[in-house]
Parts: sequence; structure tokens; C-alpha cells
Amino acid sequence: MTASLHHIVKAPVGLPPQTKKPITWEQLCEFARAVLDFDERRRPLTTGQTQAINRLDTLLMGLKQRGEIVDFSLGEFTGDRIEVMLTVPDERYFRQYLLPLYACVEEALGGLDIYAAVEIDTDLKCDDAAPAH
Amino acid sequence: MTTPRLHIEKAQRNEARLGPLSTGDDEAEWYITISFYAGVHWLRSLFAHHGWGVRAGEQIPYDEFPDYFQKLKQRGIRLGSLEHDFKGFKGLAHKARYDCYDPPWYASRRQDAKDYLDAIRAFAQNAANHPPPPTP
Repeated sequence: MTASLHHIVKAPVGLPPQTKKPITWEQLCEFARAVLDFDERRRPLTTGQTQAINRLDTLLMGLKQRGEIVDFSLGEFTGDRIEVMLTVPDERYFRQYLLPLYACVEEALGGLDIYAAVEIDTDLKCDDAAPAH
Repeated sequence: MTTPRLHIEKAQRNEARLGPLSTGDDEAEWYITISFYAGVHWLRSLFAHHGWGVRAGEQIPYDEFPDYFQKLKQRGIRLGSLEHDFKGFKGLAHKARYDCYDPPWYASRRQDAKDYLDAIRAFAQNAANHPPPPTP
């Protein structure tokens, strides 16, 4: 019976090869989740989503040019959630600057109900930090 | 059953430890860390007020708080800066626990930790004074 599972499950082309073929029921469920997740990621963006992400990209480029952020990257987008990593100058790593930054990101995605998982880091690294005194 | 009151008491016990950590560079990391966990319990009290995370042994991990913010919004509750305060607070507390900046850096962020906690507490206390809206 277990062998038949290999035959009824046809993996989509492009699925990461490390995804194991299911043998047990638990593995089958895990496999199905991996396929659904993969399928979600390769779904083409709608026009609205593309516009929203372009808007966000433009906003962040502007912030970078004005020196309000040091750098940014847009990570995984799953259709309703996008990961946004911002690096801010150390002197702006304060609530008074961060709250408007979060609000700007959400506004750029506004109307599409895309959740922005924003992580903000400072450009100060431990190696750069002044020695404790 | 975990009631909102239990989370509030836990938050207040954490807050009671902040006094001795309120001055001095070397104490700032712990001020930020403890105040963050007080904030976590204020938020859990808010969620418990809505009936979430109240079963025996159930505890909502703070990584899942954004999902509950969404649920609150779906109930028509305006969060104001709550989500952003939590995100900022979480990032700051992470730095306090795991990064190795010099103590004055953390001391310079102590007021931020206080402001984040004040904002979160005020929201939770205000919510506790109003009955949660009926589940749609």
C-alpha cells in the first residue's frame, strides 16, 4: 500500500528536490503542505499586488536616498504577507522614528490587505560598538 | 483557565522589578528585557479579555501576536500604534538579550522601552474597561 502513495502524488515541476516522497500519512500531509506552499509562491502576482510592491520599493528607495534608512530588502511574498527588512542609522533607532516608518510601509501596501512583516535593524553592529566603560 | 487578571498580575510583578533598573548604564539591558516581558503579559491580558489563550496550559507565543492583532482588527477594534509599538519593542528587546552593544547604547534606549510599555499598558487597560464585542 505504501508504494501506491508514490504513484498517486505527482509533484509539480520545480518543487525543491529535497522534498521527500511521502510514505506515511504524516509525510503525505507534510508533502501536501509543501506543494501548496510552493504553488502559492509561484502564483503570478495580481496587478494590484505588483503595484503595491512597486510602491513599497519606490518608498524605500526614497527613504534610502534621503538617509532615513541605510538599506532595505524585500523578502518572501506569499500573496498576503511580505517580509521587509530595513536597516536604519543607529541614531534613528528610536520609537519616534520607527513608528512612522512602520506606518509608511503599511500605507504603501494599503488597500490590498498585505501584511508587512517588518524587521528593523540598526546599522550599528556589535563589532562597531564602542567598548564598554 | 488563564484569566486576564492573572496576566495583569504577572505584568505588574515584572514592572515592580523595574525601579532598581531605572538608572545606570549597566542595568539598561535588563530594564529593556523585563519591561518587554511585562508588555507581553499586558498583551496576553488583552487577548484573554477576548477569550484567546485562556485554556489551561495555553499560552500565546509572542511571535503569534501579529495574528491576534489581525483578529482584533477583524472585530473592528482600532489598534492605533499598538502593532508598531509591539514590533519596535520586540526588536529592541531582542537587541537587549542577544546583541552586544555597549551599555550606554542600551541606556540611551531605556526611555523608548518605557514609552513602548506605557503605550501597550494603556491600550490593554483601556480595553479591560470595555466588554469585548460579541464574536461575529
